[in-house]
Amino acid sequence: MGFAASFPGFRLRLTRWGIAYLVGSLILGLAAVNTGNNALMALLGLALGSYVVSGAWSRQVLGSVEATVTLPSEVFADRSALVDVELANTSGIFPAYGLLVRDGEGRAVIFEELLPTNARHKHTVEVVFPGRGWHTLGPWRLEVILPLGFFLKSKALVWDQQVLVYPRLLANVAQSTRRGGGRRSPDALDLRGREGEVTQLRDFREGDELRALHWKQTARQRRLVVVERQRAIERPVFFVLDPRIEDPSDPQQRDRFERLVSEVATGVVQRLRQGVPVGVVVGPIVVHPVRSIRRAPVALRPLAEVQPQPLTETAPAEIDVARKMFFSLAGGPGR
Amino acid sequence: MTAREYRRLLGVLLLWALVPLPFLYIVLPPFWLLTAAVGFLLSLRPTWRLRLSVGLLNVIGIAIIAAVLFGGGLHVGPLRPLGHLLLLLTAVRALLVVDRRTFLRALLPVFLVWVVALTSSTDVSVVLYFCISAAVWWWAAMRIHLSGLVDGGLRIAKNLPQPRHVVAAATVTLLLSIPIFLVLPRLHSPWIAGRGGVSSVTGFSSHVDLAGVGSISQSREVAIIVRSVSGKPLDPRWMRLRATALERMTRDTWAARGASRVPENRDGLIWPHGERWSLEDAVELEVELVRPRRFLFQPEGTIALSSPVPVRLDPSGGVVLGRRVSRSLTYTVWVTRGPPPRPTDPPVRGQAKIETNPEVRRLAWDIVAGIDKDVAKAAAVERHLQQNYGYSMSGMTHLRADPVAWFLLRERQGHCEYFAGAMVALLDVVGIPARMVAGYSGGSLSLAGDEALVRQANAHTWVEARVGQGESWTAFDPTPEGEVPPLHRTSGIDRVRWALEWVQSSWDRYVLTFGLGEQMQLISTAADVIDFVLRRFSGRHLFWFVVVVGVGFLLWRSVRNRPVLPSGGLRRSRRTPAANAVGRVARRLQKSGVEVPPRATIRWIANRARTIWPGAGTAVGELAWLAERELYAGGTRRTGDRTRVRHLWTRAHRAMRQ
Repeated sequence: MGFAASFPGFRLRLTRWGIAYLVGSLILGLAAVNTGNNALMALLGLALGSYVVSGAWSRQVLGSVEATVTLPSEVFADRSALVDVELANTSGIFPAYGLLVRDGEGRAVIFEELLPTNARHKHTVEVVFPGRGWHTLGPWRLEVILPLGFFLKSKALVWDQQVLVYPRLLANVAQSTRRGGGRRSPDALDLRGREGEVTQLRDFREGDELRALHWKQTARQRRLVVVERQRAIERPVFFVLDPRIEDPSDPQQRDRFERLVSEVATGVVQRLRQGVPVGVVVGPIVVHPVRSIRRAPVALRPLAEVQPQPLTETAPAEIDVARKMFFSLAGGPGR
Repeated sequence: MTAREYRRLLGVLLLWALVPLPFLYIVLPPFWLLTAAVGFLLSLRPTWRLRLSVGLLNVIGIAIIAAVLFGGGLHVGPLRPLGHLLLLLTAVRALLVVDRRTFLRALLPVFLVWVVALTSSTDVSVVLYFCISAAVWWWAAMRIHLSGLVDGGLRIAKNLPQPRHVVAAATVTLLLSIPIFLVLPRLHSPWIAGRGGVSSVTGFSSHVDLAGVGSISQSREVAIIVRSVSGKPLDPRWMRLRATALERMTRDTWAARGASRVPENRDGLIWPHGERWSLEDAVELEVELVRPRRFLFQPEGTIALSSPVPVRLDPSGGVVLGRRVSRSLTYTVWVTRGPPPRPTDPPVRGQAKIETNPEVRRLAWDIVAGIDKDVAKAAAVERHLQQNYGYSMSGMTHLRADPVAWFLLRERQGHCEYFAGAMVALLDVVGIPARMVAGYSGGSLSLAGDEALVRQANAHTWVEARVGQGESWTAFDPTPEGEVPPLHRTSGIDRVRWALEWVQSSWDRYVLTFGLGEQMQLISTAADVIDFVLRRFSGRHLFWFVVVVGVGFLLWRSVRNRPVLPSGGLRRSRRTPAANAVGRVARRLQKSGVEVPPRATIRWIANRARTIWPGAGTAVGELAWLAERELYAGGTRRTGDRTRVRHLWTRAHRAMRQ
């Protein structure tokens, strides 16, 4: 294996300690050569020997430490996701001391004080993806400064996995989806009033309606508790997203579009949590209703991947169902 | 690391740095005792903090300067006051450690203390200290760096870095430092303390520098081996080996006169005293000079000499090598049984000798007051020096302007060169020609008494004065009798002492005094070895050697880069029985014709095994679960129950065979 493959993005930086050590060794060398004192010569030999051993050790560690990442199955934009990073020392000779993994912004996210030979340790790191879509983790770097800290050696950690980040979930989308503003909600009537059998009381989750709060239990338990009801008839709801906007290059319109996508995603998640089957229509893509929150990624995937289109593109696919919610920045569904 | 841990670590390092100082004269005990007290305080009571105001620090600074001045020591060189200063500054600096930053600032003086202590030691036991120091500093540096990475956050474990890793690193470093030590350039710089290109007579140089530190007598390196050719015991009288007389004097330097340009070799023999003697009654001795420098050494009473290399004679009877000899040199001398021959060469004329201090002149005349004969005057001076002055190997300095006056009037102690130099100066005042003689005295006799080892510690100088009969030079030795290197006879117990001395001698010979000559010798030896190999082995041998090495390397590479399943535990390991069992399942799959990819996971192996051998499904599943727990338990690695694993494997294996 070549150097570039073993040490992708290799960087080498002399530390302050390394500079001081070099200057000290130089002075020691001058003193030894001038005086001919063999004890000083031996010291200089030891100093230079340490330099070589430290350099060889840290290089071997950098080359033999591998990192693998396990991404969570569901990642939403703007929310912390727990990523499992496993560091493995494949060397049978050199233990790895003082490993530091920095994320793309230079923050130290993993510190491993000792990774013995042929050992692997797993770490969990909180990661926040700012936007939806396909993302790769990184660029993260593995830094090695020990054993003696003369040089800071680092290499890029290359993750071959990509993660699909679902749209951001909104906290107050429940109200917005019910409001007007061109969003017609055929099942709005169903949501009016309280109906259905009470199935359970549970903790408040983001996106729950405030009117579902069970105030007595909330007061008693001093935490938000909501009432979950089983609907009598669970007819699927279709969320129809029109990806067309007037000017896809306009940042403001794009921001509004992102907001719209987030609203749809939030609605999908909320409905699925309530046990309502949800179908999604994004442009020409039709996702047939899914009934479980576990299947939410099927419905969320087109929402994560959708990009704003110009108005010249075709309108969303027509579906013939009673309950559908239409989301568009371009106007009505027929436009 | 907390401030407390930093203080404790610094205390330990400081104490370790101070270890050699009690055995050295470089700093006075009050100074290292005070610093050691600080080290103990930091180590045992790291929570105790000293809070000092700026004003108090200034007062302490003044007190330090006053203590260094009071401690004095400039007469033994600048290193003593500098050492005192360093120790006191280190002590104060160490007391002021409150965090990592102040700790790092205090670390440098502690390191310097260690360097001073180490480089001032000449005993072979310093090797042990040096090796342990390598491990101590490796450990300290790694711990300091580890704590630097997590300062303000996590705390590193107390057992890190692990001692075995540190010892391994220090050992490799020490092994690596040996070739580096051998190849570092040995150049005597003209800037500091160098004696230029002056070749050596005894130990260090072909001239005697009165102001020099007399470290010659501290070396136990073997210089000369004297053997009796007939096997008869050596006469102790012969064991004063003369190199030459030093007559060219400056204020503080004594040098030999130049040798003749014509090689001396008459009838195959050299006659140092000019005249031929009868060798019938003479005793033949063999002299081995371990490190030939400029002169051949002649036992007292030498009348003739036979050398395998060309030699020249100087006016005082010194035998000078005609060319440089890189290895030990063995030559033969004939010594007379009767009174030794005396040099008769005329003294140096027309050369100003020492410009003697008026007080020294007064002293010289006081000593010889009332004495008429020159022999008696010389004997009086010799006796005066022997009885009124002390012997000391320390206390010399390069800074002294007039070493003879300083020795005679003020210090009143010194080594043999001071005694001899002072006697020459005193005799010069009273008008008696005198000169210093450089050589060796005494040695260690073997059990049979036919062989003697002369060490560098036996280096000695004495005086020849032109007094007595026939205008010849008579030898005097003003050094106190008990301080003249003696001739020991070896006893049984001496063998142990010799073994220990051999270690010390080898240390002195191959480490302390390792120089450019030895480097040249090493290069020469390496060239000889290469030449031998090239001549001994033909091109075909070398070809096959390269082939064998190449094949070995390729085999090693192929083993090293063999495809490995991602879970390291699938390789055979005593610590992961369940993972080993899953590895066996993988091998069974391969035997059954299933291709197991190099990156197969444990779960993949288990699932594939279930589909092929449904009966083994449960056992394999449990094994996989145990293996995952073993391998992915993070820092706390748990190993499966061996009995359970064995039972599961037996079940799985039985199902696979059906």
